[in-house]
Amino acid sequence: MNSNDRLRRLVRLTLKELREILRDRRTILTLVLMPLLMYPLMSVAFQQFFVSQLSTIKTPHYKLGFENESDVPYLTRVLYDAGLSLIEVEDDKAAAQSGTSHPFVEAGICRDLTKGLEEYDIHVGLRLLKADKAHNDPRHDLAVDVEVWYREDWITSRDAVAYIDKYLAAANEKFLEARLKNLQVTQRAAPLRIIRKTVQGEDSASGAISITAVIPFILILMTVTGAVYPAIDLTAGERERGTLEVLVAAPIPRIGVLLAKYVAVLTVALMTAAANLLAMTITLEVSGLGRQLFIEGIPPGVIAAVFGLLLLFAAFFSAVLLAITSSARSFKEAQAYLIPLMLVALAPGVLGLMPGVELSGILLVTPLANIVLLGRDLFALKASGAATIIVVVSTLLYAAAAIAVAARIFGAESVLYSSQSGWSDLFRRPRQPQTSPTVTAACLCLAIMFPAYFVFLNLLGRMGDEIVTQLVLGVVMTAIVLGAIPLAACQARRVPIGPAFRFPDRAAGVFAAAAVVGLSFWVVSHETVLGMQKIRAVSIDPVFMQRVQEYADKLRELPAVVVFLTIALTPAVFEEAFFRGYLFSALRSRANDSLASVATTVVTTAIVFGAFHLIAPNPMASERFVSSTLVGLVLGWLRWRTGTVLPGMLLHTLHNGLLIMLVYYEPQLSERGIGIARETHIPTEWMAAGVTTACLGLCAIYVLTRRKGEQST
Amino acid sequence: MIDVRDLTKQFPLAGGGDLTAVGGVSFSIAAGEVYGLLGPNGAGKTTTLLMILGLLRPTSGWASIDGFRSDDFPDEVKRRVGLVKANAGLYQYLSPREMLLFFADLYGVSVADANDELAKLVKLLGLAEYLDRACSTLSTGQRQRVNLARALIHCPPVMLLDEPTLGLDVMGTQVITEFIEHLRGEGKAVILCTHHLDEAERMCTRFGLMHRGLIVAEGTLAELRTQTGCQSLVEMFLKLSVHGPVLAGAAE
Repeated sequence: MNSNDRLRRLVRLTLKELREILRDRRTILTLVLMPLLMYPLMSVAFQQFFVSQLSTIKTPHYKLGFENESDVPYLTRVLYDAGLSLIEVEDDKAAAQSGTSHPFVEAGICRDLTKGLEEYDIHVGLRLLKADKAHNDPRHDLAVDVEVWYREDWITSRDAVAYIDKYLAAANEKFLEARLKNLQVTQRAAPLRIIRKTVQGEDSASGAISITAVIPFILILMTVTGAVYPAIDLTAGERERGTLEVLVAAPIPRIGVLLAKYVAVLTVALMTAAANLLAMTITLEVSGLGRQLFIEGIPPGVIAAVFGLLLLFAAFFSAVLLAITSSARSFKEAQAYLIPLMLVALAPGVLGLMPGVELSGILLVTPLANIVLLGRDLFALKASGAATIIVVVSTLLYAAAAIAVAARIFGAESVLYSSQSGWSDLFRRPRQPQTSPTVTAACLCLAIMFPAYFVFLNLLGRMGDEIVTQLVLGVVMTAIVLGAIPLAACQARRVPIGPAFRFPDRAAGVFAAAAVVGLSFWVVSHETVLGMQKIRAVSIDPVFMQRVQEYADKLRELPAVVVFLTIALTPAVFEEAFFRGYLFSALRSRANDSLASVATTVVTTAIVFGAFHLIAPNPMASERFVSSTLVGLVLGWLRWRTGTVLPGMLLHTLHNGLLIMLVYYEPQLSERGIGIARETHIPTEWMAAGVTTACLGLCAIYVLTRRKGEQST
Repeated sequence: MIDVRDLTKQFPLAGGGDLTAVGGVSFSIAAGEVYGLLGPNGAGKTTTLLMILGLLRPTSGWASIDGFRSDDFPDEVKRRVGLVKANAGLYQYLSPREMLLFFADLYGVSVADANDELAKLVKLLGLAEYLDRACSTLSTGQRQRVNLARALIHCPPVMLLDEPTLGLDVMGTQVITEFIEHLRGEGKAVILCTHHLDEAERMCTRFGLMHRGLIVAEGTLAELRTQTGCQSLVEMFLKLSVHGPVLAGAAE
């Protein structure tokens, strides 16, 4: 069966799953009815909670009560002259939407000020005791007594009275100034005038919990509800109904059945997400909340980005759901398993709602929390590209690991038949040594290594600028992430590591050819980086270049051997051991020897290798991705031809080492007129010589390994 | 057609140690034979069937169909087998037609062949009346007929029937009896697992009596009568459960 047939079969399997799940009324209930009912209800809550919160923080709203109607014209005039316009009750909406940040004061009649304050009808009450009608004439003495009523135990009332006081004081000053002027005194009324300046924090306007964080969180929760039912029904439900056994009795690979189920769950989750997003958008638009968040309404780009985010989330969560529900023997058992998962999933989600939590550091690779935070940043129009890449890559890795686990559990003997053993048996150390690691183990390994690597990189960044510390920690990090983790995985599954490290046939020739490629391929890497920069149309940040320069200067204080061992040899050895050793063997373990299958393994390991270089906190990460993937392709091919990682280690070490030594000896080289500035192209003749030599080296490897045929270990 | 050699299955126990479900059974079945694998509950009948089909990996020994060993070529084996189980369900929201065509597709049967086979099975099993109704609306007997059709849709040369009459009424049981007759007529190799001994006596051409994971007696009804000195399968069974594997001379 070729890959086209396989794809067609996957589509047919998926369609059957979808047909079954979409004919179920319970799916339609969560898919259509929930969003239809929920969002209008939620919009009321939003209006009550968030809009009132927005308006109290952005534009406080005070209610001022006059005891007597007759006092209104005079007091209104006094306050108006001092700069405060009172608003009629009907006008408050207009004022709320006018966008002013000044508090607005609504005025009305309140016959009983005490009662009005007690019942929270007004914030401040005003009663005029004695007034002189001719107050505007500076030749007359002026004596006006006003009672200002407020509640000491009510914070808004205290704020309101302070606000009114300010204008009354201003009015006083104005009266006095007019009279001093009349007496020809130049002294101003208030010798000491206090001018208050306020600074508003970036987040304070949006209140304790930002609505921009709440919306993605709700969308994610709704997507979860959409995915849970089909995930249980298509795995544990199928088992309970007795259809799973006849399904696995058919001559189709278990992974095919599982993938069809995964696509079906993902589709339903996405349909739920789309229905919710639509209902949410309509609700935001109709309720006017959308215009409060975004002046011009919700930008279509944000909707698309949020949908993309939900797709990513659904891809991850559907896989996790399937991994869990696959192990359940019944619907009930699956539900029992999912409750703790939901609670665990809620915790990082709630974290994303906290104000002041930034999408950085470990949170970038924390499942779910990173998606909620990215969603919040997308909604607040402040998501960064680098963070998005890390969130996407890490989430996809977790999803792949979850699918791999699900594939292992789904329809497995111990889950399907044995009442004596549980699915923990699947992860029990095997009694017999295994020939190679499994794809599941490799996916799990990657899912652990990726965040571990990231956390280490962050730690490294905080360890100060001491170069020796940096180098030592770098070596430790590489050894743990790329060495200890896969080694532990090999130990756990009784996988011997020897075969990947054996000497190749015709070792001398192969090593010599690998060395030739290693010493010449750097011209390609260098030009790739420059080419990518041109494509991305970005120039290197001068601050970054400065830092690179400082780093290079520090390196030059150390002996060349130390530099070579720590940043050329160590990463090369460990990266080869993992990417071309462990990962390559895992991918080859279930594959056949066809060229397409080998090519898939080589390309996959190269892309994962490139992706690992992508997550370094480096503005040139995407350039490095392309050049690393290219080197990865060569190394993968070499691993396949020779059946061992050793020639690759040599090639990799020399390739890295040469590039690093060119930087290390840059001053000496420049003195002799050999300058290789990092931002200029290599001379054409050098380039031609480099590419030709690399090709000759590759040809030599091909010839030397030719008679061994398409072997793989 | 079916070859089973020293087939053994041990399940690891939670508290350590192993539970031997099948302790090294061997038998062969030719095309056109209906082999009754009989024994009390927990004798290891279903485990043996699942190992023949490749759904359970044997701890040791092997089973093969048409020369394909189930541990090495599980797909080749599965392609040649139709499985009927008592507790096999149907897809609630699909119609029998949709479900049968779906399974035909899983077994790689072309659409035209699947439709031809479907027409034959509809006639054979009388499915016409409810062919396009949702499976959730079918009665137990109707469900069992759909399941029989499902097992035959890809024309397998081997049929494995695990307690096919469980929970069926007289009419339902009669359908199964006729179905097995039909299979024999078609020259298929059939294994029937059951503890309904009277049915087995009527339906099977040869018997393997299983007890505690071992085949303790094997042969045609006449041969078994000579071996055991009992007249009916029920008597043999009772003797078997009292004496255990003593019958075949195998010590526990």
